[in-house]
Amino acid sequence: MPDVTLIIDGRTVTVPAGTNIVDAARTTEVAIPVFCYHPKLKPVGMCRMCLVEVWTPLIDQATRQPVLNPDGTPKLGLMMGKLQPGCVTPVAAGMVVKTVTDKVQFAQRGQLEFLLSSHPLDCPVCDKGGECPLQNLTMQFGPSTSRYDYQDKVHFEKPIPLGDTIYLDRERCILCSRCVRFQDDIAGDPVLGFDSRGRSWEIISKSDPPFDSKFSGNTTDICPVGALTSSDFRFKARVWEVRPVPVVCTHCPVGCNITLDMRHDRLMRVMPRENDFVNEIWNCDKGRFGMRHVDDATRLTTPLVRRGEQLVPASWDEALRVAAQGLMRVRSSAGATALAGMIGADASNEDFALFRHVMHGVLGTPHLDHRPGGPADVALETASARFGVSSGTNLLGLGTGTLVLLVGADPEEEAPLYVLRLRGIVARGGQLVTVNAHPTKLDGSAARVVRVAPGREAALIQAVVCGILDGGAPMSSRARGIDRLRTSLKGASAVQLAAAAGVEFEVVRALTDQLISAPNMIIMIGRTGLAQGSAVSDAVGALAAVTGAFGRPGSGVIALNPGGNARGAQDLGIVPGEGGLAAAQYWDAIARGELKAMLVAGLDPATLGAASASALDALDFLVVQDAFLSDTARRADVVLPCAMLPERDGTFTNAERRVQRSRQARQAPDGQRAHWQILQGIAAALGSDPGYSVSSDVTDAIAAQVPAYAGARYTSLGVTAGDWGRQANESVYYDGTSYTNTEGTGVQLPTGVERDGLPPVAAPLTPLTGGVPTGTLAVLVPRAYDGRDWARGSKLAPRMVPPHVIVGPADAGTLGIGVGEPVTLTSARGSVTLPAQIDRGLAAGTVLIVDVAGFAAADLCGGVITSVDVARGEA
Amino acid sequence: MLGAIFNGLRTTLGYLFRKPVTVEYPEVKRPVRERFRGRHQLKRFANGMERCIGCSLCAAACPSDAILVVPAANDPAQPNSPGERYAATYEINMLRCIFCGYCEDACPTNAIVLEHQYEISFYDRTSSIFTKELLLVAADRGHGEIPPVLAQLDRRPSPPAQIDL
Amino acid sequence: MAPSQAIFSRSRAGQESEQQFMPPLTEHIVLRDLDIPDIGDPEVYHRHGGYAALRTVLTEKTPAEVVALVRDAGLRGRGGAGFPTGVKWGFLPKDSYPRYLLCNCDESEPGTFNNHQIIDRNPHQLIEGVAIAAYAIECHTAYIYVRGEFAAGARTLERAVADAYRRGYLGQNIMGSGYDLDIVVHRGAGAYICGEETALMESLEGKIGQPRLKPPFPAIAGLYGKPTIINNVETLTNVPMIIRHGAAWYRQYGTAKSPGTKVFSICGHVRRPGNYEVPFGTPLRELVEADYYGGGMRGGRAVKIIVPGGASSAWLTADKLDTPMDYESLAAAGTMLGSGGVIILDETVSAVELAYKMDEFFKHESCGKCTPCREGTTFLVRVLHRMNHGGGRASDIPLLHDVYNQMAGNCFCLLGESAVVPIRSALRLFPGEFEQAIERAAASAATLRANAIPLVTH
Repeated sequence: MPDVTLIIDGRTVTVPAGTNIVDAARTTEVAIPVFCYHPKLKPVGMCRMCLVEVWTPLIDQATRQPVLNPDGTPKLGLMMGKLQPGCVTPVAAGMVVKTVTDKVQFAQRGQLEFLLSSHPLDCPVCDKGGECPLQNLTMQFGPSTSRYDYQDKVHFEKPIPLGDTIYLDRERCILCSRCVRFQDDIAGDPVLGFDSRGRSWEIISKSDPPFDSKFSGNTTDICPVGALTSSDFRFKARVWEVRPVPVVCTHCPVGCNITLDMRHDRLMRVMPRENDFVNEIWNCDKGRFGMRHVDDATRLTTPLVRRGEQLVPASWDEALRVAAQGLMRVRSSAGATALAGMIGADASNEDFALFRHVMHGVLGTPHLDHRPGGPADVALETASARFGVSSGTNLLGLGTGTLVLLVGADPEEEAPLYVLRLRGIVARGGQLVTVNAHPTKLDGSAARVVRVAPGREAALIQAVVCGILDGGAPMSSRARGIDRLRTSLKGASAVQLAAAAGVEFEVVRALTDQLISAPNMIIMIGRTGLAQGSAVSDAVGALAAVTGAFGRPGSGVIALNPGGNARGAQDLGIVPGEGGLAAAQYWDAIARGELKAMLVAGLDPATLGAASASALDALDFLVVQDAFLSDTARRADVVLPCAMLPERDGTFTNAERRVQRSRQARQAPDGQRAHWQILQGIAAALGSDPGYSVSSDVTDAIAAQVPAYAGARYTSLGVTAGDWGRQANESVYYDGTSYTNTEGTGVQLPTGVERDGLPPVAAPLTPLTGGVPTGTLAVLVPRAYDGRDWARGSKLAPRMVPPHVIVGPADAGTLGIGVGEPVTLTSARGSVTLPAQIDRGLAAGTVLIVDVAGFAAADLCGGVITSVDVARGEA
Repeated sequence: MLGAIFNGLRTTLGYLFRKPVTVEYPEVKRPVRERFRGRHQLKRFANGMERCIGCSLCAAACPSDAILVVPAANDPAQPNSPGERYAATYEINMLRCIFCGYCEDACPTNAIVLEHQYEISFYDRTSSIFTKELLLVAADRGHGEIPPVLAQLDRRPSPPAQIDL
Repeated sequence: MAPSQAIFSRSRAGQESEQQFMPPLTEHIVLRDLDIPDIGDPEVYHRHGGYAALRTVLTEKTPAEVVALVRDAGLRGRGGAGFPTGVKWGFLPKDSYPRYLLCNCDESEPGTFNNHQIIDRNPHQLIEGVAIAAYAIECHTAYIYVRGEFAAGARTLERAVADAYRRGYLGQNIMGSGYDLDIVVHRGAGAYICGEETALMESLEGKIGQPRLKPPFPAIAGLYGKPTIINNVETLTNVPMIIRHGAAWYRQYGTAKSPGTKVFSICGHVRRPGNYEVPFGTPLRELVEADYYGGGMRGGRAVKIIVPGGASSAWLTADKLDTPMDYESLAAAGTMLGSGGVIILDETVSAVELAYKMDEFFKHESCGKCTPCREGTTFLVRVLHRMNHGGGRASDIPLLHDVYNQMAGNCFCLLGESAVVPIRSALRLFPGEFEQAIERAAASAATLRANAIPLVTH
């Protein structure tokens, strides 16, 4: 769009045509007060706070020429003869905007007097007090006294719960509709609405359960008054009393920047921290309300050492010595390969470095893994390393011309914030295509939904790759191995592969056309795709290779490996080494007597099923590092209490390979230690102390040793790069919304091609041309609200998903299954009875089993997709 | 010579017959001025409800950071104070307090008042922290009705004021 | 009624003066055929020349010719703004289909009741007008949005539409011309704001009835985001007669700038309240005093306040009785023709109370979307309420001035601007009554004292 030059308060501004006056003023540090306008939402012009004088050149009706003053300047006229709302008035050339005239100030005072005429005077008890735009704008622009009689104010019942986590105080509401618009436009959960009219107009929730959205907490941030407050922070503290500490959320691979608001070492609330590269100004409810476990009373406080049947408290020195001696004893008697280690994917890069140092460097075992060892374990993929999104990619900047392909992914459950990011791309003109065996929330925003048979995502992508290779479409020559790829697919045709995927060939052809015509393509693989061996990720890599969607900003593969830092774990070698076993193979190896001792950090494999539980029982020696006395920890010989997110600092790598620093918010309440400190203690007891004193020592060591991480030191992670978000004067727009990021936006690691200039190699594929599987297939699907440790003490507890099975309407009809009725699933591994839910979008022959706490998935499922028999009723 | 002695003791003897300016503290306590700022009290309303609504404005106003307020939500069945919020913890560190009275000025409900008691001494530092139990006046020593501005903060639904049509 | 009839004016009790009035219309345009029994029956309507204009249009004229004819006739929108209808029809973007025609029958302006009579008594002339207009703008779906309270009228209209379908005036291939048209009668849920064109569209789309941001204007993106023409019932009812008799015939009525006739709903303290169709330019005095119109004031009392165009038009006083009733003259008198609801009130009415009642209406009907309207109307009503009930304060007059000035020009749509009108008129025309109201009021400081938090005294 062409640029337009106008004058705002005497300053000349040039902005793209179509910009509204408020946004134009922001660029020149003129703050026009607003309530309903928000930089992230579409303007609606409801609150009338942004009224300004807009003078436009007068046009002579007869000659269509501007009328000139005697001195030759264009004569100006007040637009429409009255004040104009700045948020919905687009700029025009020659416009003169005045924001501080008597008329404007009279109107501003008037709007504030009006707003306060039905706003209660309960600032002293309001949780928004101190970061409230209404307070701030009243101080700056409002009248000093109200002429409205106090007893004439409207009164409603004080807060009514809008959902489990959000309270609504209707007296305080100024009806700006920010929350409703956020839910409709940004989150895509249109669960809020308005009822009644006039002064009785009020916000209501339209869903069951009420306010059924994973992003509800954001509405409390953007609420310009204290109408929406969270039950989590209700009356906990005043906002000026809290100490905001920047950390990185480790609940999922997005790596949202959040702020822990601490008061005297107690966590008061979690707020998002602005980072346009990661989470903009939002975070999800799991991140916001799922941090209460750090203050849970059942946390481990001291190391425990087994004495006979009992785990008894021990000193750190003793526990570390016992742990080191135990591991060493097994190593001496059975060799290094009898040892295995696993560390949870939400540990920091520093933890991984020390874990590798202890287990591989000192003890010499190849059996390392970051996966939990269950049926939903993802295969190690290299597509996102080879064809990953290039540095400089910012999903916020993508729109028209971008196609996002989701393969076997359900971002709402795996990485909720990606829902907002991807919907943003769609809102800016991009396209979304989902490839899934079952309905997901993002289907609603997708331009095309491709429904494949369970486990046949790879076949579909292969069909597309095959079609592109056969069709002789213009192809990127940058990737290597294309010829080998072509040869590997020789035996199959796109038609065969489409049939194998259970998709009409016409759909594949249309999809292929759509993919090759998109200038930018982001391919996102989710857990369901990643857990089907490497077939899906290899196919996706090949697709990126043949479409050229790699090696440039705005294109590439994003893999949603479960866990907050799975990317870091893979980069830092927490993967099976040469001859090493994957975590899922540990349990059989233990049963065979090949593995005799384990170190488990931040994982609870005992809950996966009977096999892993009995295997852990059979170990000679087990060291567990965990925050809680988990089922695995109960079986341990040494339990070492670890520090949790607020008590440690470190770096984390997200799904887009952005390394970010998380800081320490408090001392661990009972001297618990971070994983890396515990591991360093074990290393010292083994006589190989690396001698790091602070976390940044480890970070520096990683930067020195791992080529990809060379740029990821604390100094560079702390840089808040130039034009990335809000301007200095923008508190008017963001007050109470989130914290400004002054602590660094992180560093995106370069892909291989960017680092060494060598184009990535497309792996040859094995065509999946078998027929569409018959019989019923069960897909083990992830759930964000899975009820695991993070849910302790959370206000989200009522929303935790209970174990259940989801059947389609056809299967439910055939088998006579009603909602909530028990269904028995039988597989080669065993039999489980679960209550049923019905999803109308689910095809016959597919059932979904939710992977949540309380369901031992490994007792039924051999992998993410399992062939099962479904029967009504109890077994 | 005797004359010289009397001359020397004249002032002393003169004071023998005057009213003394000192008082025999602690047996006798000198009254303080009306606006004297001594030990704090947390007041109540006549119906026994605490005036403090736990807003922490006193803590924000305190120049020596002597006040700690930890608020909590009132149980609607058994409210401690009018409205939704009350102070679950209210502590003043008397070693830090400089008796400036800013907390009084900041208080929106006139809950905290610097009273006339000035004998504040303690044997150890921990007992310098006056808790809410120490500061709060007895339940029967409240005064004043709850004003509408506070009464309306209550959780009870109050229907919109009706206008006859 | 004989032409050039002189009648006695009863404007002032005891002061009888002779006045020359224009004769009433011998041929009505909008309120035609109302005396024919069963004119709502399509057979009867057809017998009296009904649907002839539609047939003419469908068989002989192109859409552009119809638009040109209506433009030449100078038909102006009767909904309130008076925008030339033919010009409005020409605003539609070329080659953008589908288009929609909306007929606004959400007649909720206090004092206005002419649309109601049309749909209740002679619905087919509206249906014919809608059909012609739909043909002219090349749309195939038209909606008639009927105010929720007009249950009986809406039922009549629905029956008439069904009859028209049965007789082939609507539906596929109307009268063999190949033109298809569907008319949907939609009933609102009872909200004044739904008479605002964009709020009407929101309501029709099933959303909460609230105005939309303009631009884009309905002609560009209206109902369901498509180009939409929205016309008032009375406007569309004029169309068949323009087609039947031509533009020149139409222009013989009224003034040069406001051709045609207008149905005024005369109510208030006149002897004969009702709907009267008069040519534009008829003096207000005639409407009030002529025997064949209002018939003078009841009880011979003096005229005090005239609200010439529904509650959202500025008030006039008796000295403006000679204003001709057309768009330009009323605008010159500082008010507007509006919807044609003429409310005539006598000297027994208190201006303060009238302003209160009218603003109470606007407060009740405010949709709540924008701050100045939602809060400002409430504010005005609270202040006027206490003034009317003996609680007025000296500061209230400047307060009222401030409050309406804080609203004026700052609202999202015209509802808020309309709410300013009664109070501004009252304060301008009758400041003395407000002062008297305050003098009567016993100043009460008790309410102020009740709010103070008592200081603790020792």
